Amino acid sequence: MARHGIGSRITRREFVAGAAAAAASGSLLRFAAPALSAPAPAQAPVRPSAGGVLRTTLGAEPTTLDPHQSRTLFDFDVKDALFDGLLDDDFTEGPRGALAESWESPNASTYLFKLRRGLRFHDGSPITADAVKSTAERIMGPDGLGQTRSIVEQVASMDVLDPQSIRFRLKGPNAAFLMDIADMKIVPRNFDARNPVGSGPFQFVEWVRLRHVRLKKFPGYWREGRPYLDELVFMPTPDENQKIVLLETGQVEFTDTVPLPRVQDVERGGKIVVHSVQPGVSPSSYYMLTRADRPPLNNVKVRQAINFAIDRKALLQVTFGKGTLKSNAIPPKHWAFNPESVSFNERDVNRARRLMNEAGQGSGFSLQVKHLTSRAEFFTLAQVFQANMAEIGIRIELIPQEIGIWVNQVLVQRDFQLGLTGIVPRYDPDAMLGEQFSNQRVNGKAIGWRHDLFEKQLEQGRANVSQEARKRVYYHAQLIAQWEAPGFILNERPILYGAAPSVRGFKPDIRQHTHFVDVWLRR
Amino acid sequence: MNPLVALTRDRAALAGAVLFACILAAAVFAPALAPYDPLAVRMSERLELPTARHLLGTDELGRDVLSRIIFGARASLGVGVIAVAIAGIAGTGLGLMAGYYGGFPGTLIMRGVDGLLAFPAIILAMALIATLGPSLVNAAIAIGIVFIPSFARLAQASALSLKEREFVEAARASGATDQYLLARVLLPNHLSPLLVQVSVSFANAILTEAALSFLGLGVLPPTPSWGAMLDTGRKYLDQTPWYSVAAGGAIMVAVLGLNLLGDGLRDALDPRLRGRRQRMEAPVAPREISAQT
Repeated sequence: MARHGIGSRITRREFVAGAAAAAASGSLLRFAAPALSAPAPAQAPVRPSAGGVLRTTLGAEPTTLDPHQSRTLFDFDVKDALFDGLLDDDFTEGPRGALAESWESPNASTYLFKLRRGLRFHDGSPITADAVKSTAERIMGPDGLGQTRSIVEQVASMDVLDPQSIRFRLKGPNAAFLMDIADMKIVPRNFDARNPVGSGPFQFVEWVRLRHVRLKKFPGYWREGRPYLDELVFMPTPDENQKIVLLETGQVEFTDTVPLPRVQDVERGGKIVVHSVQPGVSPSSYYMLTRADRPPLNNVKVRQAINFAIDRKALLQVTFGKGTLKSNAIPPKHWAFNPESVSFNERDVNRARRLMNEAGQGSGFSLQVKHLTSRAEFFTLAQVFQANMAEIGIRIELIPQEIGIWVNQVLVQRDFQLGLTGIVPRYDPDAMLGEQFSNQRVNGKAIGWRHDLFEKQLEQGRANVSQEARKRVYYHAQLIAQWEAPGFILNERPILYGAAPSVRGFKPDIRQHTHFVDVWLRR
Repeated sequence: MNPLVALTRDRAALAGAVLFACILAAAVFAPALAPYDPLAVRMSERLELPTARHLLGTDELGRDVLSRIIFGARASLGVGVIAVAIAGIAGTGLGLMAGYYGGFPGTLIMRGVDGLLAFPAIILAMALIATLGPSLVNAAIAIGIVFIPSFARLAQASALSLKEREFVEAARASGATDQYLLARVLLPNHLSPLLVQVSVSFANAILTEAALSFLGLGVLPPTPSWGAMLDTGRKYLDQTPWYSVAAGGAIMVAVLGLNLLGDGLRDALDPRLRGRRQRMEAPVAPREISAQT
């Protein structure tokens, strides 16, 4: 039995999420917090000042403001400002309570959360254990979507013990449940997406389609003194270059990304600060799904051949060196990374050709790659892939698709052969391996790769509390996943933000969740 | 004066012809002219400024820009030829028939054609490609359909004016069928304005293809296309402006050449300016007619 307090005071190490996160945070802290790319002004620490309006760009018009229906990273940016969950979803320094002030877990299938006192939603109504329960029920109903549903599907029962306490009993043990539940944003029982009410640092003012989403400070926020900003405005700006123009001309103070070809230039210019995440740490990846249940991709040798023929060094040049070489679902600096699993970082065309011949595909074949258009580099990455494949006799046809269409065709209808996207799973190895390969979850379902031993190992990983035991399990799971290659990791996808020098207190998150709660403007 | 002679005396038209000939040569002889394979990816040489090895520099995948410009002529000319063929044949046919028959069928045809004219060309092309899928041929078809109205109206005007002329009435009196009149009388006399329209539409087709590729709706990568190169080059203006400049320059040369040529043709073929005899007036039942003249 372990009891945990607020923040990072971890008392017992047998609790795996705490242990995992502590180990993770330990290894992360060794490499310091995500660094600023430009040198910060050297001066004594300044006290944050309250007030001001921060305007930021958004990658695309949000599909929805309903936190249980959000699909894209662009939805998440606004979601993080409007809503809170039981825990903070940034686990780089261990689990931290958000709406929950403490939690305990007698075993990996039972979790008891105690809410803070006096919490209120934006409309003034109190946040109680009942609201948590009704939120979960809402997600399981018709209003809940894909990713959020998988959080609640594992719950067998929820018991409201008193207005501040709720107990979750899971269908099976899940050591990473704290990370999962942190992604469930709590909403009031009568939630209406047209006027979204949450408990986050900012509250909803208006959404003018294709113009902006305007939020204002929630004065009753549970964290004392936060947020510092008076107003937060999101402006959908799909064109990457336009974002920088807006930042340079002072029409926004923050951009959700920086176009890769401009990064060097922008950094040298000195007017804009580029915030980026340390390479090798983030679970962010460029990811290529395959239809692994149909020929020719149902042959493991074909998939390995493709994976070996990919020139990841060239792909790294496409991103101008940002990010890092990666061909494993687990990032190289993660505690669960298995350096002995097959690595495809070094290109091996000869081996690829041999594998193609062994698979009986020496004469080659054609494949379609459906890729996103949300970032400029997708086009270039796809063309490099196309040129790489030409060398082993595979003729690639490229089909660029808007994200909405891509999600529908690839993930929902499974009408694809190869699909190229960017993905940022949760930081736990269960999420990284599971969300990409397991046929129980969204991406794996689209891929259609079945491997019972792999699924068993994921289950074991969830059930096990000790990090050492989990590490062994995930070592094996990686051996399988890397050998079978049902999907290809095409390097780490760089996470970059641009900010005016007046923006302070911003820390890039390795999952690309943009947090504005600690941000303030220096005037 | 022989129109060909008139054309060669016109300096501007000659310049246009030379420019267009260059583009044509690039398209036809691309494999021989291009120093590199336009599809050869070499990441170590990406985004270079012009050097002796790469006269116009390289693109984001290390491909030689000059070679891609040369091969890009194929996409542009290919689309131009197909689009103008579709628009020319369909548009002229519809226009001549509408003008000749007149009445209800004529009105019906021309209102239909006017309907096409109501759409902005790019939007209509985009809609067509959304249905057909992006590719060189589909882009050409879409552009061809969009250009039908200009050919149709021109042909209708020709037919309307020609059908009142004596030789047409005479031919009809001699028992010539409608089809014969359309094909052997009206059409040949329509050739002059048609030729000018062809050159103008060709230029427009190249521009429209460039615009569609710029929007990502034309030729699919890695096939080189000037419009697509213009668009991609925008992202890399910091590293090498030559990428976009070369693509834009190629489009400009092609369109300028065709426009100059078209102007020259129009001047050379205009009977009022040149005062030449209309040689092609009466191909029908020649003996009776010419005897009377």
